[in-house]
Amino acid sequence: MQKSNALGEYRKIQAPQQLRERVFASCEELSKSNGNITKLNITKICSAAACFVAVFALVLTLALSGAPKLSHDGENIRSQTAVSGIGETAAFSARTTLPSGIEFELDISSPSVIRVSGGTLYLIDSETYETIASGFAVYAKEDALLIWDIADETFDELTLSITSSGSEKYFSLALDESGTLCISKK
Amino acid sequence: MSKADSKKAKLERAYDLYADRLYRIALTQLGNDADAQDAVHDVFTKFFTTDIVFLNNEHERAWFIRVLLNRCRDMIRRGKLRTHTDIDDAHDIAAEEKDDHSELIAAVHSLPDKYRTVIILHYLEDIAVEEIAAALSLSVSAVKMRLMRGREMLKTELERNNL
Repeated sequence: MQKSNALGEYRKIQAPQQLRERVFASCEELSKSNGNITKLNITKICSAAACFVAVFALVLTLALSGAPKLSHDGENIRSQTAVSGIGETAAFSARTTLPSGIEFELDISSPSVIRVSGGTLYLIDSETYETIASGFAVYAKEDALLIWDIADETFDELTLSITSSGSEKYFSLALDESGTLCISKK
Repeated sequence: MSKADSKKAKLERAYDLYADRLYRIALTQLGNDADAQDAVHDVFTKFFTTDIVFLNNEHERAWFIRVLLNRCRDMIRRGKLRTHTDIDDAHDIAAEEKDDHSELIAAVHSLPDKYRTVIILHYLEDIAVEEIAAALSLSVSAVKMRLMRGREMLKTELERNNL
């Protein structure tokens, strides 16, 4: 009840009246002083066009490849990425003990098999957070969350592979020189 | 209607639709009224000076939220936030500190940036996960992951404050 009261109070917050006056005064000034603010700028158009072409090419490449994607904390894993267990920092987990669960987001366009060389994988439904499957290999039909438990492992390097129709991706999990746990795409 | 009148009418409509929401989001992001007003002011002046055509209401809302969050992030990064209070504003502060909502804002404000943003947008502003993902350029699963973690952090913080 207290939480919903606090939420209700939050939603009652309104922008102050003086803000409205300030915004409209500034815009009035802008429209007086800068009559040509909508005038097209050829440099900007060229830059925007170049950006559009680059983005379109990238999107097209990704769409055609349909390659599975693995992310940690919203960051797509391409080069070396520091990882941490639930509620830990990467440096802390590596210095003390290996984490009991490293979370990844799995984006796939077709059913895929995910295998690890050590530890246990948990495939989690991203809607309900229920465990769909677990083991050293799991079968994912759609986008899901992955938790890789390596707490009981002693290792130099562990690998994770994602196999889907027409493509296979490998990732390597290891400690870097500073003792930080990192994953990188092979 | 002249072009200037049309622009003003567009601004009025947008302000009436989004100002309160943007102000609340800015307040939880930046932690004080003056900076929140600055951020919202900058968003509307940008809207006024940009000839942008929105595909639909969701696109328009996502644009406002994205521009505001970028502005807040920019202010935080540049260390432009106010650390002192103007003497004229001092009388408002004591009253504000007693407001019921100030504790919720403080709890949300204490979350790390990436969790704070999704918590504000989803739980406080009722914006769908898919729309947040589009506005923040994240995958839906990443937004859900941040919501799950942020919710737990916020719960702990609210329990600590007996809210």
